[in-house]
Amino acid sequence: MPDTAVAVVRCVDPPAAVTALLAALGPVPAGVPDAVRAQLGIGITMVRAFCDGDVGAFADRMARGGAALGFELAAGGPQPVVVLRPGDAAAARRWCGEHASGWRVRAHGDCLVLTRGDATAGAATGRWGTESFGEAAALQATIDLAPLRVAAGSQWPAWERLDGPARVLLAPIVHALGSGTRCSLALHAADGLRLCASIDASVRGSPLGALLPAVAPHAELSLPADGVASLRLDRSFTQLLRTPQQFLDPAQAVVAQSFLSIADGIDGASTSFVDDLLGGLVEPFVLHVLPPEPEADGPVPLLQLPGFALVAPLRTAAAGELVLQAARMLATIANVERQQRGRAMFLVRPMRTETGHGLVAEPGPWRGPGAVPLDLALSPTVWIERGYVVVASTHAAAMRVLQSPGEVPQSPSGDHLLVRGAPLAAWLAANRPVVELGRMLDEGEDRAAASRFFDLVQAVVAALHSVQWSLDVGDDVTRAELVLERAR
Amino acid sequence: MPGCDRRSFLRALGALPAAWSLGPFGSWLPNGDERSLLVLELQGGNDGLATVIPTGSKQYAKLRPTLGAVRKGALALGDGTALPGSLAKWHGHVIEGRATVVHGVGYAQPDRSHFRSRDIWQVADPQLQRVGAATTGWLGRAADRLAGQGAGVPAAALGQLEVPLALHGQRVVAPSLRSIEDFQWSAPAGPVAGDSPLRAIVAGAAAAGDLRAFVQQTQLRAIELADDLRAALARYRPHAEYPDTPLGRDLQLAARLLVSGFGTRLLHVGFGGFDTHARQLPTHTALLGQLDAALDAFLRDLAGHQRQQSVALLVHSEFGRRAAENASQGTDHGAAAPVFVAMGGSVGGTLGQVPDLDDLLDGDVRCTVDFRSVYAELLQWLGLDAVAVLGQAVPALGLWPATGRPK
Amino acid sequence: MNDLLAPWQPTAGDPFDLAKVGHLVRRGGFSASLAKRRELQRAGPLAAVAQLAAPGPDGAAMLQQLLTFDDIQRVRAWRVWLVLHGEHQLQLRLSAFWHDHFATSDRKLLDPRSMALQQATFDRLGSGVFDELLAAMCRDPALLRWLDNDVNTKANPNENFARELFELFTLGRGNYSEADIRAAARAFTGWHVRDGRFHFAAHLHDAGDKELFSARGPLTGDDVIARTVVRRESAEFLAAKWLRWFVHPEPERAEVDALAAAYEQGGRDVGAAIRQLLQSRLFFSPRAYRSKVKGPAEFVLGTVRSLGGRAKPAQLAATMGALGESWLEPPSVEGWHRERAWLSPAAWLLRSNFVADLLAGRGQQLAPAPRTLMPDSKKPVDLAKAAFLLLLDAVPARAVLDPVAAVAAAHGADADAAAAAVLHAVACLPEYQLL
Repeated sequence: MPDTAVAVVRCVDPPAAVTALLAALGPVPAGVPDAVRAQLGIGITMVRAFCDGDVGAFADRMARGGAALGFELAAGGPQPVVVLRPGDAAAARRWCGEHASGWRVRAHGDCLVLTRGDATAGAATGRWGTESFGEAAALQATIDLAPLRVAAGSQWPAWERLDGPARVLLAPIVHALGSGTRCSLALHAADGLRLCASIDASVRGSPLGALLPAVAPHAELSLPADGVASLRLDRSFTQLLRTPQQFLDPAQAVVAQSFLSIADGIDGASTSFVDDLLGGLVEPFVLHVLPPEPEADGPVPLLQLPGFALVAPLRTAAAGELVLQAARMLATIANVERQQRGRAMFLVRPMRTETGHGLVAEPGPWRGPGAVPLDLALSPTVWIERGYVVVASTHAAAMRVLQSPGEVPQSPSGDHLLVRGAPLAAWLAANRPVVELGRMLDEGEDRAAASRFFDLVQAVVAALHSVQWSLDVGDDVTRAELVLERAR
Repeated sequence: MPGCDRRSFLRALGALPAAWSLGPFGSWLPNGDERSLLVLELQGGNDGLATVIPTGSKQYAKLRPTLGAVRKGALALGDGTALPGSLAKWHGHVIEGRATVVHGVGYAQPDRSHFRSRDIWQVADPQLQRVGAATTGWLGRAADRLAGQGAGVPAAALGQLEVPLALHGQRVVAPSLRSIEDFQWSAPAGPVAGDSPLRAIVAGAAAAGDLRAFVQQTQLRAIELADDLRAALARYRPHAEYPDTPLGRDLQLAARLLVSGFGTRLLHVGFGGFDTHARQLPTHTALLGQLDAALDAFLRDLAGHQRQQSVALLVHSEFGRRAAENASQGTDHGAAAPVFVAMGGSVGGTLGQVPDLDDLLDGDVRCTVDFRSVYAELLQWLGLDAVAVLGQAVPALGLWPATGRPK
Repeated sequence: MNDLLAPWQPTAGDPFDLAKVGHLVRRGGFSASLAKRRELQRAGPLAAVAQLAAPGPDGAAMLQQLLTFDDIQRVRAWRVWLVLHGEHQLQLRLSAFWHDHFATSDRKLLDPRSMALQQATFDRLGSGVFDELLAAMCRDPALLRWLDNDVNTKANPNENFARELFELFTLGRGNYSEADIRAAARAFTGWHVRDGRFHFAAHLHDAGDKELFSARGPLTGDDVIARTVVRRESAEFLAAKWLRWFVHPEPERAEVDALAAAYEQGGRDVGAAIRQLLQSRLFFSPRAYRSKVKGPAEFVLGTVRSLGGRAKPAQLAATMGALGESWLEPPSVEGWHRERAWLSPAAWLLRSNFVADLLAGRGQQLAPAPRTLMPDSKKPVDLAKAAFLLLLDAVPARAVLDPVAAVAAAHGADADAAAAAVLHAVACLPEYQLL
């Protein structure tokens, strides 16, 4: 591999990696529509033809001793270089002769080096042989960020050019990409597919690092067993709103300040929304998505929204009361607005149990014509119990979340998104007609096409046990991980 | 139409029935020195007493124990009021006579609902009960009448998703413009070039009969005006640097439309965030700072294009805020407040009675100028019958010097 | 049967060609794909009208799903979706007509569900006997609130509803007296809305004697409806509007008389009258062909349908709105201003740019891709011919065809660009702006 390569993907044992990756991917999910299955079948047949038969055997012939793909920067864009150490050199050369038109193939020791067209690979002194590729994995990659940044110029993502939500969401990644020297990637094929990336830089210590909350290990309420998804976004809204001009562009900072001007009026005259209300909660917050739980009596909407519950541990008891007070004001405002639009108001009432108390807004009985509108299944709830405040779209969701045992998570900080396949697929299946209509109206498809689309989505989702994404910002390294696990 | 003089071409088209130009957008006309009005609405209820500060009143400090800090560095206007430091550039325009501050503008029995009061201002009807099917806005009615003169009036909202009620007319439906590119002629591959065969296809199509001739003339006129607009936009060079804020962008788009011969006579721009119930000082200062920078660029840009006499500007809000600050260092919904008028040859300086903080009405600044008086003089300046547009006569105000006042 | 409305018979010299079919599907629907037009041509004029007039599928399930959203954008997208996909084109055309006639705007109501239910009523009753449609409209929650009849009480009669009932819905200006309006307003007192449904508030209803059209009695709203629909002025008022909508913007007296008579003889069956009109000599006369300016819906939705493609309903609806026809938000109770008022220079630019964007996939999305709409055409002149057949009714003479072919040739071997360019060029022709 030439020294000048700025990004290299490497596979130490291609035959084993192919076997492991295929095993991790698993068979085509049951329930995939026949038309899609047929397309996949054609694709697989084409791959087999391309490989002259079995893929594993092909990998063995071509690269039993390893394979690497590198990119060099050139005037016309990145130029690929492929280095293979074949198990059967003659067969590999023959294959290249047949299939790799447009590539130049040279032997280099027991390796084959392929370059595109007339490009010549730079000199190789073995730099890439000694570079660290991080943890062992089926596929590994290492990228030199500095030369890429120079080459990309203004195309490289810059925090200043992002707009509002992206500035907050992407700050750790964009900062790491902008200041790190090396990005390592590893694709593991054991226990599902796991893609890990790490960059040797961290937003901590930079001015933007203030966006990350200072975390004290605390128990989080875990997602109930049948929960659809949970998201922990490791950002400090307290910091964001305390000095919005530091994190937002001037116009958006003014919007944030205007919001505070109203919010400070809502939570009570003598208190500060940022210091007393947000500051009284422990960040980061966690959002749980739960399967819908229809009320037993009365008509229910044709589309059952999942329950959403935002959970935050309380730092001070006073903060809980402030949240309740703000909720009461917001409910009043929302009711006035509903009344102006001719909608029935929600009945807002305080509730108390032996273990907790809160505020529940419930819709009145439905008397209108036709199917029940979506919002009739909502019962927005703010609940305080066990040292947590829960803001939920339904009372049931709030109660479900509070039944979960609290546990101190393995990594108390960092973004974490978990989506579970089976409950999501079940939700889709139960709500297909209205979900399909939504797609028909959005995309202009007819019912049959929308139905085919969701057949596929549902089959794929059902075949997944879970998808997880996490982003962990250490003191001097930023790590991201994407894990896909097939249902068993 | 190469070789065809544009003005004679348009004059010839002017002989066509007026209804032809009354499409959803009215039509474009060469703009020359036609007078145009831009209305900037500060949404949420701008605090008039922190925008034009009655520094001469002893009550101010009592009413505003914390928010009174805005007086620090305030710039005097000479009649016992001052503008806060955040409006420094605007202060220069007022002092030098390009802009006018009108004190105490509002209406009797003020409504404290954002929506209702906004509707009242936009419809120009203090007795407005509910917005009905046929409710029209004051700018919409003005646009109807400008169209009635055969002038085909494009009135437009800028930078807003919805066309505000103010622009709803009986006949004229104003569009909401977010980008000027909407009005350039494009083919699938991109803008239609000057030598594109597409032009010959449209111009060369045999258009027998009255209706086809009408369609073809409309198309040719559109193409020609799109070309003119493109050329004019290419020629447009800002004479001032606009701040990179939504308001700055909206006002620059307005300036481009006004100076490029687009023929837009009435423009409406919204600028929100003024509902400052708590911790008002930093928020309001930042908002006024954005307003100051954008307005200053707009005025200097139009002056650079010699349009300061033919464009007028009105800045208003749906209501002012209560005279006394609340317990959250903010202010609640109030009543009368100052408005700004600028350019178009208006008098400049200050106008009307300085708010008397010793003589409040229910804790609010008294209304001393009916907001419709401001509208009326702007309408007259545009050459319209203000009584017809507003539905009644209102007291004169004197925004224009008596000698130079239009009929 | 009179001459004007007698069925048109194709002859060797005046055949049922693609121009006639195109005229029929543009007026009796929102245009159709070339394949569908050819199918209708083979069927002949009578069968073609019958096909267009076929009742639609039962949309009840879809309506209920839609009501779940309670979202006006979705309601609007639903109407566009129906036009794009529905085979029951005449029914949808009449629903659009009745939306313009009983023009109700959600800008005031802010009630997407009532708006959707009103549209569904148009779909259900719009092709039936007018008496029933009018009776349903006088109980329609959206219309009652729109015209303030929900505050029309015995103590405080509100004349808004009664006035529009006579002026805009049935008789037309000059065919009733102010006393008639006052009487009708009293008859509709207490016709209110409760919980999104029609509600007769008996205690707010004025049951006293009223004098309407010179007859006295304790008239109810239903009595007013019954006495109004039978008036000759009502038949003439509706007939004139149908003629303007379906045939020609300036109908003649004899035409109005003929259609009004047919409508009355047919028991005020709207669908029957319109079917008779669409089959008639008058409809297929040269006077009617391309005599109207396309409205935004006819232009935008007609373009997608003529190409036989599909696109995103919400974006099409937004384009219609930018062009001045935002369904569910008519500018006033008078409906939309039509014909030449649609076409200002700015509006035409937006139309042309819409077609360009649609074909280029800029902001709009057309499926399938333009090139696949004309799979058999490779040479520029063949592409031009195919584009004329897709969008206009016939292949023109070389003098018109060649410049369009030249547009394709300018794109060389780029088949997608060439296909998009010729289609756009044809859509820019003056003829294409006409219905």
